[in-house]
Formats: sequence, C-alpha cells, structure tokens
Amino acid sequence: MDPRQERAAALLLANRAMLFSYIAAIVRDPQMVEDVFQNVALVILDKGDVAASVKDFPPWARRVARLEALAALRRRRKAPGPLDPSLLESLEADWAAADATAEPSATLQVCLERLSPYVHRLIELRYADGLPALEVARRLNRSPNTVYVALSRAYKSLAECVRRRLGREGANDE
Amino acid sequence: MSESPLSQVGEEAFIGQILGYLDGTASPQDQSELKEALASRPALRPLFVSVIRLHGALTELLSPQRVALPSAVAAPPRSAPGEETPPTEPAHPPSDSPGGRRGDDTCEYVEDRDEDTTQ
Repeated sequence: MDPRQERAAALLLANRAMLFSYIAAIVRDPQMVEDVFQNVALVILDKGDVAASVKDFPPWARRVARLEALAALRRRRKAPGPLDPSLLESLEADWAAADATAEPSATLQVCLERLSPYVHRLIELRYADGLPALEVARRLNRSPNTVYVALSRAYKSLAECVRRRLGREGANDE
Repeated sequence: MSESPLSQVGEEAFIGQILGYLDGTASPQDQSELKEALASRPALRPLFVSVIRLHGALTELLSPQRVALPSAVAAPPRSAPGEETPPTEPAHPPSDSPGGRRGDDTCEYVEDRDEDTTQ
C-alpha cells in the first residue's frame, strides 16, 4: 500500500460508521448495505487522495457512497425510496454539521452501559445480533410498537448522554 | 413562518419512524410521510441525521464485522522499502476514460479533479 492509499485507508477507518449509516439510509437492505459499503471502501482506497484535507474527506466520501448506493438500487431495479437525490442533497448540510460532532465509540460505550438492563438488551438484540425490531419484539414477547418506542427513547437518551459527555470533555480540554 | 418544535412524544414518534424506515418495515405511506416531513420541515433534518449516524455508530460498536473493511484497508501492510504491494482489485471494471468513468451506472467521483488523479 503506497502512502497515498495509506492516507485514504486511515480516513476511511475514521469515517466508516458514518459511511455505513449513510449507505444504510439510502439502500436499507442489510446485505445490500454491506455490498455497497465494500465497493465504496475500494473506490476510496483507489481515489481517496482527491480529498484535499481531512475536513474535505467526509463530504467527498458521502458523494461516492451516494452514487454507489443509487447505482446499486438501479441495478436491482429498486426505487430509491424517500431519500432520492434531491433530498440527499438537501440533507448534506446537516451531515456536514454533524461531522464535527461525531460520537467516539468509547463515549458511546460508556453511555450504553448507563442504559437500563431491559433497554440494553433491546440494543444488543437489535445491533449485536442484527435483528430487526419486529423480531426483537417477537423474542421479548412485546408489541412492535412498544419496542419502537423503547428504542426511540434509548436513541434519545444515548444521543443526549454522548452530547453531554463530549461537551464536558471539550470544556476540560480548554 | 417558523416551524413549531416537536413535542417529546412527536420526537419519539419521528425517531420510531426513522428506525422503521431503516429496518425496511415502513409502509409506502410511512415512507411518503417521512419524505414529506424531511422536505417540508428542515428543522427535522438534524434529528434525522443524528439518528442515522447513531445507527451506524452502534453497528460499528456492537457488530463490527458488518462494517469490516476490505482486508487491504483493515490491516494496511507495511511494505519494506522497495517492496511492492499488489494493487487492490477495483470494485468494478475500470473504463478507459481517465477519470474512472464507468458504464450506465456511471459514478463520477472526481469530476473537477480528473487531471489531478491521473497524473
């Protein structure tokens, strides 16, 4: 791997969760998300040095991901769903704003440990086991709506916890 | 006219709508509503993006194999001086055009910088 590719690989590693989620939002099908993600990774490795700086990389990589994801949907004759190209373009400013406040996994881990055991279990089933919420509901003998409400609250709580902790760490750094 | 903020219940319902969308369980009507909400209420967009990003961060943290990178990226080899590393296979057959343009699914990643990348 030459230095140019090593730089691209480092940027990719630092942004992979963001890119994975961006692709997931466009294509939704879990297997397709992983396939598109692999393609995007290879394109970035090949051309990642076109982003002039670390700050320029996320929007450029999202553009790669967007084009790859939409192309994959076309190949499978699937409609892009709500996130069509124009809406994705409208959302770009919000993605860019969030780039500056991405949650480090260590902070997220701490916040996860603060969830109640029940909610922690929900998150584990959903993410560690990769089950859709409907299957989580079936396993826990709850209604899908109950699970969605609990997951929604968990998301809110996690986001607030991460924001609070990052704010505190930021203040300590000053 | 400014948008009214979401109530706590409204916010939770919106997050639930996003999670259903990500799970692929949202009905066509749910998807239309989500699209309409995002298009007409810009104030909802940061929440949408934050939920999507958290989804990715949780996947990376709890199911890292799903965001595994191609082996060449996951463990960048350190070549000894003078030793050549084989190039990574491209995801698609490369075209003849200099910017990496491809067939009917053309993705042009470097449209303004083709010259830079081919030198």
